[in-house]
Amino acid sequence: MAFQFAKKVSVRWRLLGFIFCLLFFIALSGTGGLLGMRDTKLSLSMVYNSNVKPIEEMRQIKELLMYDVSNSVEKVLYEQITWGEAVKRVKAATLKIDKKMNELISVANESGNGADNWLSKDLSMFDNSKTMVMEVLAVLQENDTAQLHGFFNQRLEPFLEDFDIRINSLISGRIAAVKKEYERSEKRYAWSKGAFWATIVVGACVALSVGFFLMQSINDLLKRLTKAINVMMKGDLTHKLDYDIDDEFGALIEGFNQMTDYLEDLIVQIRHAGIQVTSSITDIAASTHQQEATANEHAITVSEIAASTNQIAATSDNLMTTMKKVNSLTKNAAVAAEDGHAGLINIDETMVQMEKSTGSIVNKLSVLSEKADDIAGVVKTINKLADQTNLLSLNAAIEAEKAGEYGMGFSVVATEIRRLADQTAVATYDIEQMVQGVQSAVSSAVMGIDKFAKDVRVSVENIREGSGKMEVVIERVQILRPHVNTISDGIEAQSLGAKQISEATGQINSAAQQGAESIRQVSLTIERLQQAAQGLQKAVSKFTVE
Amino acid sequence: MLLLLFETSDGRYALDSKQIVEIIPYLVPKKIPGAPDYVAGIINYRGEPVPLFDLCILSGGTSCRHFYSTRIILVHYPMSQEKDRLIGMIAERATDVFRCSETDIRSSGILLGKGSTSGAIKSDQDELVQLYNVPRMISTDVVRELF
Repeated sequence: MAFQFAKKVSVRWRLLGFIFCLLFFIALSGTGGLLGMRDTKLSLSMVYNSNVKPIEEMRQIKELLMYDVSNSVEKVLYEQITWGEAVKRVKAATLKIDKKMNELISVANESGNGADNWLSKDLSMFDNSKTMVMEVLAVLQENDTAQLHGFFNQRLEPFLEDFDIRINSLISGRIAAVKKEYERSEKRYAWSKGAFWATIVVGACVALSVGFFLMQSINDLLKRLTKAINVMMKGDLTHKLDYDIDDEFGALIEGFNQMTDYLEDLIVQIRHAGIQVTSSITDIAASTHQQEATANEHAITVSEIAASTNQIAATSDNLMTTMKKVNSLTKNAAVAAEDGHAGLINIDETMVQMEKSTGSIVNKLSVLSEKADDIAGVVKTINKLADQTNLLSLNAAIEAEKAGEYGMGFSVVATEIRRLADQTAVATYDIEQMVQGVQSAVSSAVMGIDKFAKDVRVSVENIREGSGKMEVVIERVQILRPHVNTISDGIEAQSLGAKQISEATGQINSAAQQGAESIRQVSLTIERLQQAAQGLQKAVSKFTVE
Repeated sequence: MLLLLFETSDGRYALDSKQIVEIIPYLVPKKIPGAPDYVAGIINYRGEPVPLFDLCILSGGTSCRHFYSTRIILVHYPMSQEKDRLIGMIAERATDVFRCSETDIRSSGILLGKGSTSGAIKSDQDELVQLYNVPRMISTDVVRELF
């Protein structure tokens, strides 16, 4: 019956009911314990207020009477304190005793029923004590030692003994009351213990029975569910669960069935997808192989490009070195040409000076020639004179010969004259020869100088022409230098560019190798994918679907 | 005897000073048209026309070179029946005289019909000098025609 009921209530309410049941029993036992504790507390406070507290107060009153009052009297008797001092002490004790007595009476009234309490019998004793203290005060104010001594021995001492006995009997009464209370508490505790155990046993039984039914109701469903899941785990997705109750388990089983349906659909889709994936993977593998081949070709081509670029870079470097040499050579050439130009200008100046010098030499030579001509003229004149002298001497000799013996002396003179004339002629002949030599030398010198001057002129012309050409050369060389520099810069830039290309091709090469590597990895991945797809298909084939 | 030494184109000659009138410097003569080559021309000697003969041409060479020593020797040309004629002869190196005795002159031993010289002498320079024979060298006919 309980099971049938449990089936009709939802699991939540079942659990809540179970928990409330447990809470009810806990509350019950807790309340019982709390009540017991309250009783204990009340009885304890009663014991303290109406028994322990009065005992203490009675003891204090007794002490006040015994020590403060009686002692003061004794000390006066033994003249340890003055009378006044004793009066003062007794008065203070009287006040304290009054206060304590009032407190005691109020406590006794609280614990008992008005005047009908444990103190009512002995109230007269406290009143007597008050009167006794008044009497003591009156005796003390008399200042009479004999009277005081008599009072002390006949009245105070017996009173105090009686008071002590009666106080002790009161204290005994109070202790008996405490014992009575303790016995009452023990009885109550025994009852409480019984009630507690009963509650515990009943609660445990109820909790166990309710828990068992709850567990039964849930466990049945769980068993069915586990069975269904086991079937599903074996791959059979066709199994469905039946459950007609509209509770959480109903929702769970409905969800389970729905999930199985979805899973079935999914498996079917996965099968299709697996087939598609396998075929696609085959395609991808084929294209990856192609890509790999292409990548390898790329790598080879890039390597070739890198090699040629390196060659270009090396050639550019060589070219650059050569261009630097050319540059320095053109620089040297420019410098040399400038030097040459300067030298040519010097030569030109020298030549001009030489031309001038040759002109002056020619002038000097012409002067020399003139002088030689003059000498020749003089020699001619001398020659003429010698000739005429010779002629004269000849004629004189002939005339002397004609004169015969008379002309003999004259003939001797004529002969002497002729000899002189002949010597003169010979000398003039020598001079003439010399002058002729000088003249011919001068004329040949003039000719030579003329030729030299002509040569010099030609040389000057040539040098000027050469200088002009040299200027053109310098100009060309100076025009050439920036071009050479530009070429050098260009080649440098080219070399740099080739190096950069080389580096770039190196990077491309490494990138291509990386690409090839990734393609290889891709093909590996594809293989794995293929294996995974096959695994997937294999795994999916375990499932039985409609 | 005193001999005047001179040269023509074919050697050195000497002339007896007795025939010589005077030796004068060379003058440019006045040419005579149609005269033979060796007749250089006519000069004026102290108002008298004197024909000039070029001895160099006469010796078979070219005309005499015009040095200072080239002079005109004025000689008496002996004519057989008439008065002597004064003629001039152009000769080179007519600068020296040479004195020798008649005996020093030796005959060359060769007499040609129209020979130029007569006899040979030895000068003091061990030079063989021929004695110039004017009438032999210059024919009388020519001289006559010229006057």
